[in-house]
Amino acid sequence: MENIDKKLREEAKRLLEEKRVDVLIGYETGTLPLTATPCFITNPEDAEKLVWNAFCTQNLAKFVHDLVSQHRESQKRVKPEDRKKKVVGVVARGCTTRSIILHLQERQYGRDEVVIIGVPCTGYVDRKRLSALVNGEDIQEGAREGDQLVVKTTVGEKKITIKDALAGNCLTCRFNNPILSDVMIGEQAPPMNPDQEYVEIEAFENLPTEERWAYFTKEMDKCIRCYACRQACPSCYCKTCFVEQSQPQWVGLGEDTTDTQVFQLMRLFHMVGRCVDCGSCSSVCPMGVDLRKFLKKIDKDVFELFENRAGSSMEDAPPLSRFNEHDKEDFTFNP
Amino acid sequence: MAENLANKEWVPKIVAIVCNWCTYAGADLAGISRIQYPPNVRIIRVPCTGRINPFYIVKALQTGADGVLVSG
Amino acid sequence: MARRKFATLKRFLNYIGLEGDRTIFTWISASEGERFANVIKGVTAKVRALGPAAKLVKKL
Repeated sequence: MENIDKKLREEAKRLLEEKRVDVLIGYETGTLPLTATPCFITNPEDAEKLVWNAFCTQNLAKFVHDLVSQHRESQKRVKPEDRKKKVVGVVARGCTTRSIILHLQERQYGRDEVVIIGVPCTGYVDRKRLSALVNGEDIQEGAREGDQLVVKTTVGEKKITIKDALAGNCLTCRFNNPILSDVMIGEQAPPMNPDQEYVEIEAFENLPTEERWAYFTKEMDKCIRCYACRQACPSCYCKTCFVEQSQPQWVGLGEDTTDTQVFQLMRLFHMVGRCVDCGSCSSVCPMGVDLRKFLKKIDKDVFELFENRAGSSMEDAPPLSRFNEHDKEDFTFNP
Repeated sequence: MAENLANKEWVPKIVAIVCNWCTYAGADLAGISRIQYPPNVRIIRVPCTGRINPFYIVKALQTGADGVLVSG
Repeated sequence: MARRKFATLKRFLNYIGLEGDRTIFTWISASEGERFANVIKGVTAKVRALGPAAKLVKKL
């Protein structure tokens, strides 16, 4: 791990010094123990801050999109001949590269506007799982020792196997190595367990309708409509989200339960063929809504129906932007 | 109004979102040919089935439709 | 593409626990007046069997 950090810093520094990138998005050590937080680096000396470990949670593709679109917006007021291009560098794991591929396919920015530093990923620690493992005690100190986390809480010290604390999407990840990268750092990571990908979903599918509905309403009742999921999601980049549209007003802004359900339902449905299962939405959710249960189903359907996995390759266009005359039609009603 | 409705037998409210060129013309033909069909569908005409945002369907269900028919 | 949208929507609504028969998709051409009447009859019968919608309905 140390080695990767070192190489990453060197590479970042080189890219910034050579002016190949204007800004670099990476992770730095967070203010709380056992956390990492996204950081933006413009000064080559600051590259020393960069880290890459199992606590880097957020999908940084979101920030690539934000920076590029903000820059483009600012360039609108500049004379055409004086306009500058901004190149964004990004430290990317498998799911981040998938999001970048999706952005490129959706023509959000050009391939020349982003420099991808690929890093192998062995999964990240889910804060909520970690917290549950220490019975919700306040984590005061923590360190990683090989495959174990030594966590010091107010009641004492505890050793946790890192695998127990990994996020659900990481355990069954299919793309833990970058798909697309300009610079690759470190060795390819060993594969995770993609065969178990849909086990949870299949179990849920087989439940009776009423139980599924009960689960959906229970989860959605937790939602406080803070929109953190939308803010963290790299695929949610609309300038005006449907929740904020007033003409027409798609969803009410009050605390009506059905409005919350409809908001979540539609946000989830906008992920058809676009969810890369990075887990950012679930990890930022303050209420712990189980969004993945529903997102993964969409992923499964898209794979079953259209044999597409979002952002898995540059050539494979998003499923809703193309069609096939042999698509299944068994869902239609024929009296 | 609501009380009057409550006394009556329940009839389903169905929203039919139909394509102008196919089903809407089909419905027209059904009318011209005087074919009897249940009167509880509310037809919404759209320029093409591709115009339908999945949100229309969810919104119809949210605002009280018992069923939604999409036909192209 | 519309078909793809509806195929996934129907599956998804079914998955979260809304009855599958509440959303119905079909194709009717301009020359199929008879079929239109049959579809409406079929849909009405299906929805009637399900009873009034209770899920996701906003109470005003």
